[in-house]
Amino acid sequence: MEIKTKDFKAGSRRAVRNVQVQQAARRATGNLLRERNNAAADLPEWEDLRNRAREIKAHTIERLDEYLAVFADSVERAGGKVIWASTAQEASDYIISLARERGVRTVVKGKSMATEEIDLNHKLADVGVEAIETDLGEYMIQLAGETPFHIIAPAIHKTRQDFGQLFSEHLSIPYEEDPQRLTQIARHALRKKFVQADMGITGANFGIAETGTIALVENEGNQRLSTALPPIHVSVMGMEKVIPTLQDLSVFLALLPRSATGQKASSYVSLITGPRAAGEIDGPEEFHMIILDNGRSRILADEAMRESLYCIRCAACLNICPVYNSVGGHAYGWVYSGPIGSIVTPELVGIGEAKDLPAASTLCGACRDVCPIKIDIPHLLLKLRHKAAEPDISEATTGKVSPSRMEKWIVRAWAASMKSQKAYAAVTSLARFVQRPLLKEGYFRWIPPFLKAWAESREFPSLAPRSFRQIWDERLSKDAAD
Amino acid sequence: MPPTSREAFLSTVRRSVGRPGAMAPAPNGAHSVRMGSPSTEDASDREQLVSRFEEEVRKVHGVVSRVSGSEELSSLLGALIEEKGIRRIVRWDTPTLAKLDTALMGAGAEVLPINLNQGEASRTNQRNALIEADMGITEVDYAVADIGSLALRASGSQSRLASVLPPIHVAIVTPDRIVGSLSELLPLLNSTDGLSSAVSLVTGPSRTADIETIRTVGIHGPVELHVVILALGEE
Repeated sequence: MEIKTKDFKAGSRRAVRNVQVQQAARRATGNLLRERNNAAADLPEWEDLRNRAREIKAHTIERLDEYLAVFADSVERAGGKVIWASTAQEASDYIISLARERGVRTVVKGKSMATEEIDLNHKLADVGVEAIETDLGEYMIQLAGETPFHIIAPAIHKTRQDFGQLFSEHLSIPYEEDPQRLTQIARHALRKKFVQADMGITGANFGIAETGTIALVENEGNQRLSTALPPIHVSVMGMEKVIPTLQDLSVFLALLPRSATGQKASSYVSLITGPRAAGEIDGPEEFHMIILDNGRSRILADEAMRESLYCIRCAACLNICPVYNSVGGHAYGWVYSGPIGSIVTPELVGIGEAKDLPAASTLCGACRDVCPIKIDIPHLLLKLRHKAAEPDISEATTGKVSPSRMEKWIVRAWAASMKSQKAYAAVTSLARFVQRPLLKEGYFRWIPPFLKAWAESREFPSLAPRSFRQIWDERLSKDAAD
Repeated sequence: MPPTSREAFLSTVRRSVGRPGAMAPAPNGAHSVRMGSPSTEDASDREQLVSRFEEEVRKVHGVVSRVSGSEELSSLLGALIEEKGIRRIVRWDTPTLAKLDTALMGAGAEVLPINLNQGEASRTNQRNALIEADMGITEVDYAVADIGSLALRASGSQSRLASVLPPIHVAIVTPDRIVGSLSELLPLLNSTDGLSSAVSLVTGPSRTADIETIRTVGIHGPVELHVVILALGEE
């Protein structure tokens, strides 16, 4: 997928003016969040589960090399082939050459953020292989030529009329806008593709080291069909998705659907262990497990950022985020959006490519409170802001001398004046005097040029004529006098 | 670009982790987290488990019925076949389900058990039958009470596709197969002969909310899920 993360500001501006995007984002996130809150409140052990999940993730990530080795051994024992892809290119090249070797013409795909990340559909199309997204939302955005708007509800910005028109155009059928009928239309169109497909490609929500099993969590059944009908199954999994045992899975299967949609259980969970075994009736003859690094080892190496690898992609942080709710998923410019996207994206594509994303947060902390793994997202965003302000990065990406030295000076002066009451009082009374010629109706009408960008979206009210402390002291002495 | 070697990949990861030394024991999944009620052998507890399961299946829009014995089961399925106009049925090849064939055919449907015995030549026929079928009948390995889920293992007599391709899925559950929660289920799946290549956990019919967050059913898997709890009292 093309990286457009540098356009975050322009994209956000477009999005806040787009009424359809605004309404769609709020409708989706509002519904999902309400359901999530009910589901969490319904489970007395919710907090225990969150703590347990965090423990398991922390434990596994600290020993990721060993668990990956165990996982790979288990997959191979079950008859699967393991492919180690350090980069997106390695992963897609492997799939392309496999498709060529086996004469694959049609691929059915289950929804997978990892395959979005490696831009697989376009690369397959370039070599003449038709890759069809089979999740209804993903199918819709593939027809529309767009990218996912939301991690779990990719086409939520589209109306039923949008679905009706695109289906009518692409499938040469009469226009229809009833959601249940549209669902049936998609069922029939995609069923044909499932039957003719030579290869199924999915992601993996979890990889279980003990057994070499991947868990696929879904509601539609397209993952089940993608892993059972075609003769070849390829799974692409980010390397951080490994958990130690099958028993650990029960913790995550309790947290993931509840956090994502408020369901106690998703309609389907497929536990896939290798290809069809001897003596079994159906299922693929080949199973290829691609383990993807693509920048994750960089995150792993940075202890401050490491916990961003605990994410299970439930999207609860998107739903609760005031910024995501205002700008929607496309403004983020790549695969992962919302608060977790603002962390993962700069880490994977490079902070220089996505400097604005860590700033796309009010640091209100709601994302941390809703996260099933208790990832401290606001703290990680601050770490990234710090990184983005490093002079070498600013200079490398803007070509200008960094404003950070000036910023540093201002912040130091600010810190000094905030640390001492006397200094603060002195600075503010000086400022009250200096501000006078710059004010208009209680606001600054002149902003120093080096603050222009910062002030663009903020109002600068003047300092009040008297400080709270002055008023307070006057009242106290007045009360004492009375 | 060829893939990285296992050694090179893992040594990058090891460097990033920055941790020398041996692997520590894993924290033990759900053991300390109680999820739902533990199963017991007490009859009233068993009944509680069954009703909880029933209740949860209904919440996810499954249709639940209880029958005792194959005769009642046959007539329930016969009525369903007539009501829905079912012509073609595929089913798992289990002894319980084999007993139903006469009744199902009596109700006017063709029935095909899906198994390995018919040889490679009929693999294509079976696949076509699965694709064309109006109804798939399975006998689940386990059911999970507190979330209303079914667990279906793949084997030589248990087709993966029979529960996902046809628009109607009928799942037969015997009460002794119902466990309290997922944390009780998962060890069972891996106990006897290890995991089969595919285990499907099924909770309600296929659904989506991808169009304006409106819930619709049957996008890829079954439009309807019928769960029949079969008590084998008099047999």
